[in-house]
Amino acid sequence: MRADDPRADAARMVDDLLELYAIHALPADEATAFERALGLLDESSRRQAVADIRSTRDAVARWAAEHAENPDPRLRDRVLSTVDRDDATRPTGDGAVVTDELAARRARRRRVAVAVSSAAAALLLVVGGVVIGRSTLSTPADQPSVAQSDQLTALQSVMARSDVEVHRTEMTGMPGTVVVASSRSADKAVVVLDGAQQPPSERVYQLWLIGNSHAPKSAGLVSSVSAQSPVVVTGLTDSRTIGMTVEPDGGSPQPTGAVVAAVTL
Amino acid sequence: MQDRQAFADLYDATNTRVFGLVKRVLRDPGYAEETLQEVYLQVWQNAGNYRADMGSVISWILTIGHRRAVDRVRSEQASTRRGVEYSVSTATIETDQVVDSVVTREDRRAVIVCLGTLTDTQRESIELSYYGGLSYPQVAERLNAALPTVKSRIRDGLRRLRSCLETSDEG
Repeated sequence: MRADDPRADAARMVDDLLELYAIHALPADEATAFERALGLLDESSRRQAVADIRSTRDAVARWAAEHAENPDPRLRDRVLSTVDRDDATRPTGDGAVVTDELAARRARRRRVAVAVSSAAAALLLVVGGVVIGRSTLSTPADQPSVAQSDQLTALQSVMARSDVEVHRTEMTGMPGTVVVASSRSADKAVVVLDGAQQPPSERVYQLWLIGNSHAPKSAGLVSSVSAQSPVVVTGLTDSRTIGMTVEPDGGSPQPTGAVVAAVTL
Repeated sequence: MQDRQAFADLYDATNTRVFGLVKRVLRDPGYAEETLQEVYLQVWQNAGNYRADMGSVISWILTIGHRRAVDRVRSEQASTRRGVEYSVSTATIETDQVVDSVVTREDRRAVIVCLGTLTDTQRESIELSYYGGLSYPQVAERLNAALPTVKSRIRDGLRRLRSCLETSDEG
């Protein structure tokens, strides 16, 4: 390793400043330099650094929970009405709110954006571990369905069922949580990964339906660890568990890799 | 409106933690309330950008809240040249003020145990930065300590906290 190797310099800087960056302890210029250094790292070092930033933030978030405090209850209405007013105003990049003079012309596009926000908020609730068994999450008829992926629509339909159950389990041997929202009456489950890393290269996460009366059935591949890409699993009858393994790219007909999660339905 | 309900649920599940953190950094209930509103507007507008690799949802929202609170503290310092008044004594855990039912008892115990593994100087520097909103050079100035010293206190203390919490999760 040469002393003037820019990648080695970047690695040293990331190692030196990672925790300070994670809690916003760096002055602006050093934070910018840190981000530039992060971009210079090789793929696997960068992934590790991002995971470390994430788990540092998770750690201080748990500490911060110790200081939870109720705000003025009237704030709730103000927050929700701010969100409603967001229909007529758009934020600028720095967070200031400016009046949108083209509000009328853009109204349709914004309705689409709101529909996306709605599904995303529903997803955050699932991932956030908030069990919601109410019917209010069904897709309203006047919202354009084109705004949502089929998966998000399926998620909303599962969440709207009265028998919806949400299960979470930590992944074994790696960071991340598998969250499963399932409904027997809908015969459907929606699987989301929270805080998970990409699988190793040329590997993929594969889901399995497991039951006493049948061999494990493939329930699909997790195409992306993004929480925005839930996997919809149908045909739950006869199965009690959804399992996840790490398989070679493309998946396997039967599980061959390590089981990283098993969620009992 | 139905999507509004989903968002209201998200607010209900997270607001006490976000408010507690931003109020601690800003030390002013009025500023904290304003900031809380800004945070949730940002969450609403950016929910579609949330990615799992940003961490858990609550730490994503708390990171947004902390960033905003810190920016506000630093821009005020820059405009008024006001000195740093944050006192570490205000940052001790007031156990009976915890109002959030989402935090389980085991989780809280782990946090308290793991905080106990930090040295006093590590904890002091982290608190001044995380809860006081100070950058590490400001922490160094405040403590009259060398920059590398403060840097390593924050770094090593957070590493210790992180690995302790991860270990306690496995156990």
